[in-house]
Amino acid sequence: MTAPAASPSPTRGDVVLEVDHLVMNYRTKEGLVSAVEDVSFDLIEGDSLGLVGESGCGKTSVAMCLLRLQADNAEFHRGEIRFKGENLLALSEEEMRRHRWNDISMVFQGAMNAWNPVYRVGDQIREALRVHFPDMTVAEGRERIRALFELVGLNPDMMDRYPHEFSGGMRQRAVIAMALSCNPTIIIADEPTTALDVIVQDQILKELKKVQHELGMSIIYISHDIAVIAEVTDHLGVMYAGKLMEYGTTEEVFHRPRHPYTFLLLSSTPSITGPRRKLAPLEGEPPNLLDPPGGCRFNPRCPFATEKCEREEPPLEEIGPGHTVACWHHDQVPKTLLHELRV
Amino acid sequence: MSENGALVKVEDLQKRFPVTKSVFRKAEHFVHAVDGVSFEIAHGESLGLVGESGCGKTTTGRVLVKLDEATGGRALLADEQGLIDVAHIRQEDMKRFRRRVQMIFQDPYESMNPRRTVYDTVAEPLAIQKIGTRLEREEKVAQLLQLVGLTPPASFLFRYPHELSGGQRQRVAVARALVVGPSFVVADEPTSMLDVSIRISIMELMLRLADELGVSYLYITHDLAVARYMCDRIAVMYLGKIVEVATTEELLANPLHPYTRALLSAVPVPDPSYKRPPVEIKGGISKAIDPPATCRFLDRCPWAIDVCRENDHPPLEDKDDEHYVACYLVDKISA
Repeated sequence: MTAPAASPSPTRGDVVLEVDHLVMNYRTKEGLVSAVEDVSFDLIEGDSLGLVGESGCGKTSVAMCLLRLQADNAEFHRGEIRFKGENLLALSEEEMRRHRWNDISMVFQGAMNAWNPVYRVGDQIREALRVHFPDMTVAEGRERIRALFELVGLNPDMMDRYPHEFSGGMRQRAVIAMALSCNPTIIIADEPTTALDVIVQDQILKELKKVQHELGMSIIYISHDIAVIAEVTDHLGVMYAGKLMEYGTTEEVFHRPRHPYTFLLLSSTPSITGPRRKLAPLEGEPPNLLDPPGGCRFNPRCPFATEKCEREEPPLEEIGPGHTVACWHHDQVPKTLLHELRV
Repeated sequence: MSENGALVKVEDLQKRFPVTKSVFRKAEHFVHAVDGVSFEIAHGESLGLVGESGCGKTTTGRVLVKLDEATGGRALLADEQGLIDVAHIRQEDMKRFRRRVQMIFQDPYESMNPRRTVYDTVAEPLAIQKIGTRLEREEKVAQLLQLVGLTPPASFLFRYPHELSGGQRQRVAVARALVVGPSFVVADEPTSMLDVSIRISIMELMLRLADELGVSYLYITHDLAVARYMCDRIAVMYLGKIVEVATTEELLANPLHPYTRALLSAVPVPDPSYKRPPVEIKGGISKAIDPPATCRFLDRCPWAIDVCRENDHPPLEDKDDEHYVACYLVDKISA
């Protein structure tokens, strides 16, 4: 299998995280669920990487693997996750704990609704700080939280308030403050704005971008919202049924999608800009990962599928600088999105 | 739209919820969830109702299908026997009303009884309305399943909700809403819980059925891109008030109210090269508990001047060719 290209852009920083041929299954009563199948990508320092795909395509599973917070029935079969060259999968639980939050932290999906209602928000963040900095005094902790709140655009006095006194957007800001509390190198943001209104979403995404520039962090955005991903990421990985189907710069993947799945996904995304047009639905449903289809996992839904696609699995192949695609027929994918053809 | 051609005519509709500290005390404060809303929907037209959470769009929909009682105003629905006033419906008219008006809910995982089969769910309105014999009902249900794309119907009739995917459940919800042949359907975010790929097929389905069966929709959504796809006209709601109404493309191309402008500029665009204009709005949405009489948007408006502070909430006025807006500063802002 071809190694995935890590779009080397010399002006940017070094690679901080390498995911290398990762294979992870869930063991269930019915059998093995092939949740992450041979996924590889690199994350560059200061960069934003997006992972998109339908529900159940393995986006969150990959994220959980990066923090080694995968479910108990998860099994790694192959591959490495290297943080600055060190394979996280080979570490003991104790060693991994030192990386968690200090180097890689996460904004979990729905975390804004997970604040404990009977404790002050600031106290809950201090709790997290205490685990990582046992010597930190109360005053130092409060000072740190004050700075974090200012960083994410919250009034520092809010730290002595209870979660119910926060609006949805403020709760999400506080979650981001908590994820930033140990100065991580990487933040994984899993659907960070999904439950929020557009105006609040806009504010939160701007805030994240600002903080990212100030602190020089890398962010992995996980979202099913293609429009959000288009706006906030530099690189983009498109996942389908546990596999990475296409990877490249966000510009490249959006303007020149080469995988039929990416192509159809973009063709079915409504927008408020451009001419009003008919969209093409993506027929069918993702496969059951207990028994994924043979060959290319997308072949049952793919309009370009041939016999070869049912037999042989396409490798992730470099088709342009830093642009990789896993499809036998990527040269047949139209250059214009379906709905644009119909205008 | 002609005066008598309207299917639904809403006049100064009002819904207030009491805020009480104790059940024994009389309420002194009220949430003005829907605060004097007026609009019309023509036969076969679909009107989008958009706004942030808490703006009253769902309450408006619920009042129109009589899941909530209006506390003021009128909502008239036309049928061949005349007009039904939703707010003052007589008990004997309820069944007739339910045949005309149906609702599709947001969450297909919550809106179906897990212990009833697809057949039970879709056939229930027919049984309540005493339409047809059992055999005819079975035929009607099969026909509806065919129509919403659950084919072959025989393989779906006796499945339970847990045996269906989210998209399939929402198709069942559409079938249930349409089985009695309503002329007006309130759809409350019917696709927001679904994946993008499935979303388009449900939207396409609803558009096709509206066309084939002549159904009008009140389509409630927070997603303007979805509203654009589904609706002929869009009404923008803010804290219980409609602040702007226009045909879809006119509203998107030429938003007049400062709130509509902010809302539009905050919508992410699926094109990495597109640069959105900055979002000109202050603060966050407040609660509509005993709001002052002035413009509801005053606190967040970047344009507000003394006129806005000294007068009541501006009336919804036709600025240009059925483009209605409620703002004192329209001419100043659009200039």
